[in-house]
Amino acid sequence: MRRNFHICIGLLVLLMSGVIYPASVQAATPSSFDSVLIVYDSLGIGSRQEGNVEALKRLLAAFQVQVTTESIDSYKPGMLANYSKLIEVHNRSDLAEEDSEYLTDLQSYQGDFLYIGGMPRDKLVRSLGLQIQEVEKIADLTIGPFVEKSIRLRTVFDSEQPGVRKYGALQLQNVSYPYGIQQGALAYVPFMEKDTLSEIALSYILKDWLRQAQDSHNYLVFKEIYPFSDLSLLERMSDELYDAGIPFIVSVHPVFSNTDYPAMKRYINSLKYVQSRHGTVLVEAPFVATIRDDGRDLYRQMEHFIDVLAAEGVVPLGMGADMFWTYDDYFSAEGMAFFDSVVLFPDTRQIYKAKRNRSEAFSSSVYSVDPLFIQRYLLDRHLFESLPMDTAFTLDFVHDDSELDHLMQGLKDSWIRFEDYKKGDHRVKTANNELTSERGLLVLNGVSLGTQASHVETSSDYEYKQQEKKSFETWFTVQNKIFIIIILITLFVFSGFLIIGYRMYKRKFYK
Amino acid sequence: MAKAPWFKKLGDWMKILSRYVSPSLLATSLVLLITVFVLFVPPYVGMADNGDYFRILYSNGLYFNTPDYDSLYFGYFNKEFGIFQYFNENASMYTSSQALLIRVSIWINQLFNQQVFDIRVQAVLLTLMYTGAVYLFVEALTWRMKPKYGYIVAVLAVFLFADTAYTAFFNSFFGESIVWIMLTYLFASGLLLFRKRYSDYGMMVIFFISGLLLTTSKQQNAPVGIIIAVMGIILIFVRKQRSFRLMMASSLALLMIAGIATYVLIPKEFVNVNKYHAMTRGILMQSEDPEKTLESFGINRQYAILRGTIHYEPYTTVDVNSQILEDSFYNHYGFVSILSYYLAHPDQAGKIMNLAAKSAFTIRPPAMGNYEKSVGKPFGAQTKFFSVYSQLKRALAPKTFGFIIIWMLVIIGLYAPHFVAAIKAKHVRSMTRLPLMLMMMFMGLSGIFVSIIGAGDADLAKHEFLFTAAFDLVTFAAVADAICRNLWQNKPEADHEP
Repeated sequence: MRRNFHICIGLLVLLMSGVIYPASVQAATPSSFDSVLIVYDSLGIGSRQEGNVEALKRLLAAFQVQVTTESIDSYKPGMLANYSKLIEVHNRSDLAEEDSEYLTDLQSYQGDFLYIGGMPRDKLVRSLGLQIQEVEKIADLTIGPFVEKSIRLRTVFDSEQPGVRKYGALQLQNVSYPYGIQQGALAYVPFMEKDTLSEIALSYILKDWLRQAQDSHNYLVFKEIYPFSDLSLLERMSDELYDAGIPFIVSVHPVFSNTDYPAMKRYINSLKYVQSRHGTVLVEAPFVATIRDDGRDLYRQMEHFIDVLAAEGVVPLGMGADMFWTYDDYFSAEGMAFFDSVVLFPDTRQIYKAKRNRSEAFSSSVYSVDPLFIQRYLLDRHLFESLPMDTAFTLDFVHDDSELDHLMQGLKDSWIRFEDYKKGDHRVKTANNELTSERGLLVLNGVSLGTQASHVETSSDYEYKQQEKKSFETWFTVQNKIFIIIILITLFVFSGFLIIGYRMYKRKFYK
Repeated sequence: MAKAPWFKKLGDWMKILSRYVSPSLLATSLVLLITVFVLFVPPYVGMADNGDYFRILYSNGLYFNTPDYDSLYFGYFNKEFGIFQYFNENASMYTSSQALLIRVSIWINQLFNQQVFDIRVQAVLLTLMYTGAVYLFVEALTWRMKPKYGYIVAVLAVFLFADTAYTAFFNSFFGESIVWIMLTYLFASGLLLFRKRYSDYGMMVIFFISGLLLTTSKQQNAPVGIIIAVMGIILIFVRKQRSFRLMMASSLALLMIAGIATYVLIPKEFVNVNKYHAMTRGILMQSEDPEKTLESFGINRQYAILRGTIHYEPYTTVDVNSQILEDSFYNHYGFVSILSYYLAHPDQAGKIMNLAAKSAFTIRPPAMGNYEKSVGKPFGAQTKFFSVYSQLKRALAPKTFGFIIIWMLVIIGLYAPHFVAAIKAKHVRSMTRLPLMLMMMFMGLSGIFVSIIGAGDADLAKHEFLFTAAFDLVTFAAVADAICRNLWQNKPEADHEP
């Protein structure tokens, strides 16, 4: 009886501690996310497939999984045993496949398996009942509300097997074939190319294959916002979006020095204004000029910027970064460790400091897409449906009023329903501050924050140059004056002597 | 008063010596000996890469073939580089006379080794060129002077020209090596024209070629061509023959064009980096009210936040080559508007000049090591061997712009009487020395001005090499002329030029 009582007390304490001290949210630990291994035969550089592995990595990141990428050539025996989810990307069709360590391990692999490529493994062909035909034809790909015309195909497939789920349709004249197929742990798509509809189409299959059931959301994100952007235009845009009932996100470039300048104050005031108009602030990854950091500490710099924002009541809720940041040991540990939520943009310029083949996963990771890309394939704008994953429709911040007017008209006409990022759970933590969002509210160090703000004029008065400490100033001024007088008198006397000397010389020698 | 016996003995010894070795030959031999010892006898002395090698290397068909090259930056000198064995897509990224030197060096290197380029091949070429320059320069100062004075000048010349702060550049891909050698040739050929030592035509060719290579060696030397062209006008009238005058005038015109071309051909990326620094590390650094200053240029006052930042920071708010900077920052100012700004704000110009003067007497940039990693010296270790002059100069020179002004006034004061006398005597050749001195001093000053206007206070020690080199040559010439009693004593006579 006494023993049971002690157990009950112990359980109660454990429960209480869970309530009072919730688990700290740093960048999520690898163990808390599913792991997926991508094995590819080639990156397809110079071919149509170039970039498809990168696109796949970005899609997977949006489903909150940790990704490891390995080429078949660098595959180490036994590696497959550590994963329960495998994606094989087959980009090469020119060479016959040789025996490899990977193929040996694949024989005994029992986990989930998705194959992307024209020649699926026998196991898949058998299990999914695939009937593959080689064709050289042009087809239209449709999936959901999207269509891409005139795709060149090399193979098509179908399956009569009961219980398989088919995705999309490849329309060849009067015959239709599925784009992808999935049943339980197995899935197959014949091709995937970056920046085409096949990239989007794959996301539908991935969601089911990864067994993810949650609803997806759409966000409107603005990039290219600097302290020296047109801040009054930013405020006007916030007003117009607010009036139109469109919540939005601004991914703002961080500032690591001169954070006490009036210019910084104006930047912060504008961000506060954005917050007051249903805008959410994300910290954009800084520009990496060089990997030689000469002792510069990225962690301290990022922490400083977040703290400066927090001190003024601006609550960033996550980070906007190119995807390569998550594949770099240094950047993920030093630059992203404060955040549990990210929006991952396609890489514009990869510059690694400590490259690795494993990604960092985040509890909220939004897939960034250019609205024009979606528009290109949308059959009818009224038919828009959310993509299977959380999606950020990312735009560059406008340059002038006319661009803003054009943008606003486009957004008002759009049928995309944008969500308020604050409604999700996001957390940013530094040594001094904890910034979170809870049910649409911003919380700073446990205190709910009012976001009311109006336009504030910041004075330009600031002492940029520290006055040097001067001692004995009067003494030196007097001394200077005395010396100047002495020097002038000396010069005068000297000139006099020179003239007298010259006259004497002339008188003596030129008589 | 009777001379001491040892002094007489010294005089006798010098007379004997002068029969076999002239002061210029003595100085040249010693400089060659020391330089060869420093550059080609282990442990080899050279310069570590500060990150600038990349552009000159890849544009000339070389690449970093050392696996841990990143660990060598700033710390260690590396002497071997790979030669591209396939098409080089980076070719013609960078155009300079230094590129020409490297290509010739690669060609010679490939006679022995097709795959690996040894930088000592370039050092051999530079040492040979340097030997000629030192010989001509010392000859210009000591020719027909009393042997005892000549040899003193020769010994002093060894301390200047064999200083490892200068010669270490030969084992590097920095353009400073060619700047130093060509500046010496240019000044020497000018002085030799003045002294009428060798064929005027020969000296004219050397003057032109060295001026051309100097102007095109670095982008910041663009004004040098213009300065030579203007200050060298008097050289046209040294001889009366039309052919000489025509050739000299054409040479000067070509140098002017070369200067303009060097300025125009600067690749945009470098312009952006320097433009960025010119504002953030120059004008904004010195301004009491950066926001007002920016508005005077028509730039958004918010850019004040970039005050003091440098492009080489690893993590920055904005890419220095981004469109936003291009459209709303760089497009609002240029060389001329910055120059006008400094002219309108002499107090700020004065402050930055003083800042510049602090680094103006440093020959060897303090950041770069001289030894190979295999030698086992600490990271960034610099050689102390034969660098008395450079160390004394760095330690003792008063580092203010006022000193530079006084130095210029003293030099002008020393050479002005001779110039006035030459005008009175209507002896054009004798008039050339002061303009030559002025040409050198203006080139030095241009080094400082271009650094400040072009890139603020970023990398000053390295950007001001032209000043430190010109300062050394002019000061040495003045000291040598004083020792040889050649400042005022040799009065010009009436012109009897052909």
